Amino acid sequence: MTHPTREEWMAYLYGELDTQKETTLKSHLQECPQCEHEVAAWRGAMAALDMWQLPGNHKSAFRLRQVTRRAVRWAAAAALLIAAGYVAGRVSAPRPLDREQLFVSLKSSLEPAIRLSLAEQTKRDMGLALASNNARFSKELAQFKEKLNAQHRRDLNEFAAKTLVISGAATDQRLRELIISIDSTQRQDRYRFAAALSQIESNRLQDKTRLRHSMAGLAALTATELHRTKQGLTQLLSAAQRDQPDPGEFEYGEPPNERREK
Amino acid sequence: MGGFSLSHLSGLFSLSDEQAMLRVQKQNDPRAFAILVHRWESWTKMFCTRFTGDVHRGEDLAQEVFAQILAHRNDYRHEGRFAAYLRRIAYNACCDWHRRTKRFRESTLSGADCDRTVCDVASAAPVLSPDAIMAKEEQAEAVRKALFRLPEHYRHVIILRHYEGLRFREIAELLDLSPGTVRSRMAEALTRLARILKPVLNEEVSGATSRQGTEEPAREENL
Repeated sequence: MTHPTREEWMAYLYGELDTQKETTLKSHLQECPQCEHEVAAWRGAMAALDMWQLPGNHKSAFRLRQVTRRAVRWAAAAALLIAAGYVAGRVSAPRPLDREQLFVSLKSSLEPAIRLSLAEQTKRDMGLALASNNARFSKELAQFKEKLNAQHRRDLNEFAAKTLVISGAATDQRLRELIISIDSTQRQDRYRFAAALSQIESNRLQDKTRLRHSMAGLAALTATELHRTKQGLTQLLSAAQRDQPDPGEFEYGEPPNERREK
Repeated sequence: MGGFSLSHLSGLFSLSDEQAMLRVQKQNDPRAFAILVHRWESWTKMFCTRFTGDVHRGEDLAQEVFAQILAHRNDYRHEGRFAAYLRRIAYNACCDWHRRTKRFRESTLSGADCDRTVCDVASAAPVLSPDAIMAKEEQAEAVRKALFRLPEHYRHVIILRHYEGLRFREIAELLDLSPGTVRSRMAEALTRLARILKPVLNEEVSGATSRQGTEEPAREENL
């Protein structure tokens, strides 16, 4: 008889064996007093270990936490799935035949025909009304158009006339202003010309008087110079007559020539 | 139960632990860290209390664990669950604490400081009389002491499997051992524990061992 190993017993005691192996070990335990005794001692130790409790200690808070979190997650997923299934079922399920549904089906079968006939009737009525209306409307339209045209033409003429008058007046005004400006310019020119002429005249007069003065001065100078020359000549002549009484004709012939030149 | 499931339902729409840790890592988000602390503080305290055998040390170590997570937030890799990461950090912190206080450990264990360990027998069995509660507290203290008389590597396996409910495969990953080794250590630990507790809890345990096929005989006896 082969006994299971201690390692196998540990896995057995802590529930880490698959079910087949577990039943094998369980049946062995009932047959083998040696193993039974050993396992009982271990169970006693495990029971003793359970006596040391810490505040808030469940067998393993750690695993419990993980397991509950996983369980809650699965539960949430399942709830979502169920809700989705319920909604899908509600949407897809056929409804029982009742008055409302009958009414709806009747309505859906009759409504198109009614709508169609109604639409045709309306169309016909509308067509007739439109035909009679059309003739009247086109006549009125033509009249209105003519009226509008006449009005338009009148307005245009009036506007053109007004524009012409206004532009004529403006042109006259401009011309007048132009003439005035030309006149004033001419007058100014004339004034300036007259002023220039008078200036020239006065200049000329001044020059003339200056010339006369200078001529008079010159004449006076010439006369005095002539007189002095005559004196000099007479002295010279008298001096020469003392030395040589001969050249008398030269003495009288010379002065008339000089006077003529002047 | 309704409030319990409702709180978990609200948890569905809040940040997951991994998302919160990602925010702590990338954005230094203090609110996300507060969420993590709020969710895992009591578990961490309990875990560390189991390993140290002392409520106050457990609280101190839990604080250290969260401080360490915050300080080394960039070391966190988003491959596994945050819970597994936290468990590893907490386990390492407890091992460090053991290493630091190795020479004081014996005196701690020999001292009967039941008031510090807060054996919660009353809440486990609220219908008991004061005398019975006292008796249960004494038993619990005896168990605690027996547990701390075991070598460290046996005790760790017991705490992780029996109290934390980790599977042998998970313990093997955490301790970097093969699952077979973990199981054989567990068997040896339980054998030794039974031997230590036999004279102390003879009457209770003997009542339990006489039964067969019951998973938790001591608990049934309590009820």
